[in-house]
Amino acid sequence: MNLDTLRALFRESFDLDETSPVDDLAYRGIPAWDSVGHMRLVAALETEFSVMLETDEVLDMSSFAKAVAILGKHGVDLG
Amino acid sequence: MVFGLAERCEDDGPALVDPAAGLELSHSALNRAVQAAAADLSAPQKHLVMIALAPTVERVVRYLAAHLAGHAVMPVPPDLPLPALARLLDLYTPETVIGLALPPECGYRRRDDVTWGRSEPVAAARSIHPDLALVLSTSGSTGNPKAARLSRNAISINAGQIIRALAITAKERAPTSLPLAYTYGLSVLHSHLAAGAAVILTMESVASRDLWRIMAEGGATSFAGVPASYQMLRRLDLDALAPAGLATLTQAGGALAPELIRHFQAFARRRGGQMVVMYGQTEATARIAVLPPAELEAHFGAAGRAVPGGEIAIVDQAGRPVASGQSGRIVYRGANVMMGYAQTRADLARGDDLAGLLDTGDLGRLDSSGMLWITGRDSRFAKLDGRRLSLDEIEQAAQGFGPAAVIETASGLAVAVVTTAPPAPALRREFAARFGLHSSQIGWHEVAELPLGDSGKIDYRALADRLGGKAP
Repeated sequence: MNLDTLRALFRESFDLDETSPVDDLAYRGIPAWDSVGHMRLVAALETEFSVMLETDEVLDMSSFAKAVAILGKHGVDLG
Repeated sequence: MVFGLAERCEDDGPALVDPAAGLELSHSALNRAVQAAAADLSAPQKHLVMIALAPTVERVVRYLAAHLAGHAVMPVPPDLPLPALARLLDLYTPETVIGLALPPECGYRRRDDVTWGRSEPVAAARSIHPDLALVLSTSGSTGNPKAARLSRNAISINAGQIIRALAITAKERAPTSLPLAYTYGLSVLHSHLAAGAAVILTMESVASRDLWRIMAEGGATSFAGVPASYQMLRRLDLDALAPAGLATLTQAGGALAPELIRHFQAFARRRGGQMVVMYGQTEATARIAVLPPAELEAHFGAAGRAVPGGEIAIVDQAGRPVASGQSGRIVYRGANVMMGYAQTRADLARGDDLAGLLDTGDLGRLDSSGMLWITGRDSRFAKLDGRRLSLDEIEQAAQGFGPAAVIETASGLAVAVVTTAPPAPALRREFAARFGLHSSQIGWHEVAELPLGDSGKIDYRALADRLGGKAP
């Protein structure tokens, strides 16, 4: 498991192409990261990393960096 | 006066609340603000006023003012992309545009910070029917130029029908949880203002912590959502998040899975409130049917009963009523039915083409008690995330990859295409984005040939059988 897996999930969730930079993305920073895109991302992360995010985590996960931090709390080692 | 505002010129209860901006307008103050703004918009002739209907006090005041000034109003999403906007301007030539940035080549001149007028006057021949009040796109956010023509009477009747069916009192405070340029979102504004209730203005969505803070500050009592909203809410702990006074949930914009209805009914009951499932169309201003909450338990999956004064009938292909309990086309009769469609400016001069009778394009049945159950769609439209998408339009676009046919499936759309080179992922993403969809919502299927019926037309039923689509 590494950061590239997470980046790929972000690109898939927001329909970005394979080379788009995602490390600086934030909620509503791009049209695709709207509420529907957000829930798509949450579902993708939960499935890929076998975690269950709490309400607070779902609402606070408003950037790539925060996703890294929240997954870290769940013991997901992103290297 | 629009939405009974004048009747409440002494009402100091809240009408518009914008917690983020720290603004609160009473009905009496709103009445005064709308009158002042209407004076600015008044013109000797009836205009078409296009307005970017953002959920702010300023914009809602101007929207109501355009109605009060007697114009026909065309609300559009504030984030409408320029190509879609340019197309609408070209087709409808609104005399006044509010809240949109227009490049010089559009033929408009800025009148004040938010209002634009045409550089050249619109020809007098392009008149607008006296009854026409609202020109509302039938597909919300994609900027599809096909719009419903709604009369002032239809708007006021439907607001009243909604108030009665949902028992909206002056104590209610509804957040703008859906875009105001979308029929359902707009109906929340109309019905609450007409009931003397309040609307909490916010642009935030359920995935944002700010929405929940704003709903708490604004004292939200209800929440309106489409299936996509409730699918998101399902992931959140609503008991912890929702402000204490929030007890009513309403849902429309497509079928919600019965287990989700059950889940939210349980939440509403814990709050001493109700989960209200509804059915409607832009073509009927907004609301056609409401499922009385007391009947929900015994009717999970039903669409409801006709709103007060409305009548639902099921007919066969020839338009004859079917036997009780049989499936067929859903037709609706009521004073809230549109005057007809508009596709260009010239259509705005037309009178009432439908005489209160709407063929919904949906298929369904009425049970012996008059409860409506929807079983499918007869027309070539899909309903995704509360938006209506023309399957023929998408099919036409897909023809670029070879002979293609498009149907609706349980999870989105399926494209059957005869080609040896189906579109690569990047093209699929671009294709989906053109219709405001995510690439995962369109499944691509390479086929040897498209199934054709006797008449040589595409047999969508056969295609649905093959691709697991919804029966057309």
